[in-house]
Amino acid sequence: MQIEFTRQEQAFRSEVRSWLRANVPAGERPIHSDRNLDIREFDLEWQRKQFDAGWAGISWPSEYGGRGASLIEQLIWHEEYARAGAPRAGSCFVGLSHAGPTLIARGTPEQQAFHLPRILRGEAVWCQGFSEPGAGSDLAALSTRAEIDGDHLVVNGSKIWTSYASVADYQELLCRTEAGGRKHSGISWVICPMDTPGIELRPILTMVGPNDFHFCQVFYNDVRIPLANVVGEINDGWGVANATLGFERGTGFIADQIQNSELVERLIAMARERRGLDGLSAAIDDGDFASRLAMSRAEMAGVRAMTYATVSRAANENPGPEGSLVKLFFSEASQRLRRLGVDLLGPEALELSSDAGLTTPYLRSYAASIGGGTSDVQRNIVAERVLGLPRGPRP
Amino acid sequence: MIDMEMSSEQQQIVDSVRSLLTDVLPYERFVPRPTPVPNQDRAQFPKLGELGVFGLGLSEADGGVGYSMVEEVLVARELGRFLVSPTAIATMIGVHVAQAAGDPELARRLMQGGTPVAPALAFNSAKNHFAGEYHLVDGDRAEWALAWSEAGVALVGFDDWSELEAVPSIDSTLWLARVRFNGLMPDLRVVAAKGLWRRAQLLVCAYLTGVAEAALDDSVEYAKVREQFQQPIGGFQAIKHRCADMLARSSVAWNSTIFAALTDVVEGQDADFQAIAAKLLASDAAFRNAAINIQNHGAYGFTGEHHAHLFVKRAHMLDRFGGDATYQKQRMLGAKPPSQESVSL
Repeated sequence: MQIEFTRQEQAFRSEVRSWLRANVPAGERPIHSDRNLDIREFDLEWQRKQFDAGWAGISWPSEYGGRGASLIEQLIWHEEYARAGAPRAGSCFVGLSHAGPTLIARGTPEQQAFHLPRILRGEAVWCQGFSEPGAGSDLAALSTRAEIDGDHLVVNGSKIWTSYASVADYQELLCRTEAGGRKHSGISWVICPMDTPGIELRPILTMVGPNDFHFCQVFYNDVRIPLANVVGEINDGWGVANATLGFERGTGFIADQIQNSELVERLIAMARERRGLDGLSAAIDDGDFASRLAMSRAEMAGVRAMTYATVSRAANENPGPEGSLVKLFFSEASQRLRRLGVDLLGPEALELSSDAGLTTPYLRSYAASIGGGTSDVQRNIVAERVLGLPRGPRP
Repeated sequence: MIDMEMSSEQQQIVDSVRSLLTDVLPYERFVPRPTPVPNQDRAQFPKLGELGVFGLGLSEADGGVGYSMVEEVLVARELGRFLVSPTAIATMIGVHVAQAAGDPELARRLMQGGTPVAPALAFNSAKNHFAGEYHLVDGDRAEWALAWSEAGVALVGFDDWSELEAVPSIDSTLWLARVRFNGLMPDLRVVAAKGLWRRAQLLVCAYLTGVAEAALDDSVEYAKVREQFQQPIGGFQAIKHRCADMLARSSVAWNSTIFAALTDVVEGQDADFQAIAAKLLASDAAFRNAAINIQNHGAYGFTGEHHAHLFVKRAHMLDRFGGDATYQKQRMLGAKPPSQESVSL
């Protein structure tokens, strides 16, 4: 056992740090809403900048144009990325962390040659088309149909919770290509160009605020997609989708974790400066605030230790369902932390326009235990696959 | 290099300790017949000593086994799993105190296991000395107590104890007494600045993690065999989700402990910070897992015949060793966080 960065890794860190320091966009990332194309331009421009400097696709193998960084280098990259206050991948996330890796794992040479460079160079935005109104945690219950008509698929149905649908060029679309049989079979993973006729979007308002249309429902009416866009074998979409599920766990959260560690430090500093309930002593002298701040500080240290352990496991063998443990603990710890932030604000917390900027992230944190697999599903995974408890219903 | 997995050599150490404990200190020793049996764990300590448990982290030149703090932490976790008397932890620390304070003879004697050191739990942690009121745990007939304050850690000999008064213990398997130490600065002491308190803290963290893990194992085993409504209760989400949360907590506790130990080994600037965070997380994991384990066992969990209650009570004893969670939270806020600038560990 050992935690010590080698000389090369330290050199890598300084290289990353100085590049980020000089190149992180100065302006704020535009507000994300259904008709706001600014965000697409902002995200793509930042992606192009990373590509030009050779950082794009940090985890992608170099033969596919990625950086081919080792796991530890990826960890360092994400740590420095967050510390430099670099903007989140945003609308480039699905392409970089999901669609791209899936194409690398299962795409044809033609699919790879066309799409991978576009993702890396910041020329194409991808969105995800997995969940449906009737298929959430039970994703395999999805019912969007795709019928073969000559050399095309004809898609009918609806997807939901699709982030960045309105600015995306392509969608990774899971649809049912064979009715009947077992529900995990008969699904196909398809590249769906978002400008295909028959696609309609309905922006969905989130609880975060009156302008926050973070995601869309997507409707498909006789949408014709070339059969050549199927990734992997037809009817094997479940296997294709699972080939890269790990990308949403493990190192994918490091930047968020660093931001949370920084938030704890910011809240501690704030609690030392702001007055508490009596208007005289500092907020940190309040026993309840002190206790929660201390616990949050410890929890974020714990999350970091968990992440390092996950990286260590992944370097030694295959990352197991332990990724679920990190997500489970992290999402709830970060919710506690953000709640603490608004409690420290006191009355100001009621104002969305508050300068402290803690209310919006607080409201957004309600999604942490839902998105990317609900905490309830994570608990099932942990209990069944790690602890070996009896499995729940699998119709 | 980030490697938080046990090497095969470390796994062997763990296996050999576990196999000895399975033989000589199984949970059956806690079954009341019909009333609780006084703790006799120390009778087995010479066997632990023979295996090298108490001198694991002392250099070979000093008569120890020559491993690092990490191996001691691995063993302390096993001691926690088997609910071994916490005198074992105090003895492991005591060996280092004796050696560092210039009494290698005593260090050698403690290493053999025949002279258990009793943990002394301070009522209030003194800032710059060791005098004051303590609880002595499993220390009847003990010659030495391990005192712990902000001044550091010290061995306090029987002659320097006063006003010893045995009191009924929350944990019927651990004899408890109030005692006063009068000497401000016992001869055998290691000042806080030397960092030995961190080793002590992490051994306590490891023990607490072991308790949390044992409570989890207990729950999982039971949930697989206990049937209600014609199915194992582990199939109900109410139970299985609690078990998943137990694993999340014990896993956070373990990784924080080992992360802190590895940070200490490379003399990281944030070693204090990590050791305090680990204590808060390990304590929390032990308390909560112990409570949930009782809940998962239903009324059986509430009995004194089942060992589930002992996890709760050990959590209380160890939480106080080196300062309880309330105290650790104060220290957590006072600690220097890892530097945002230089992340080099």
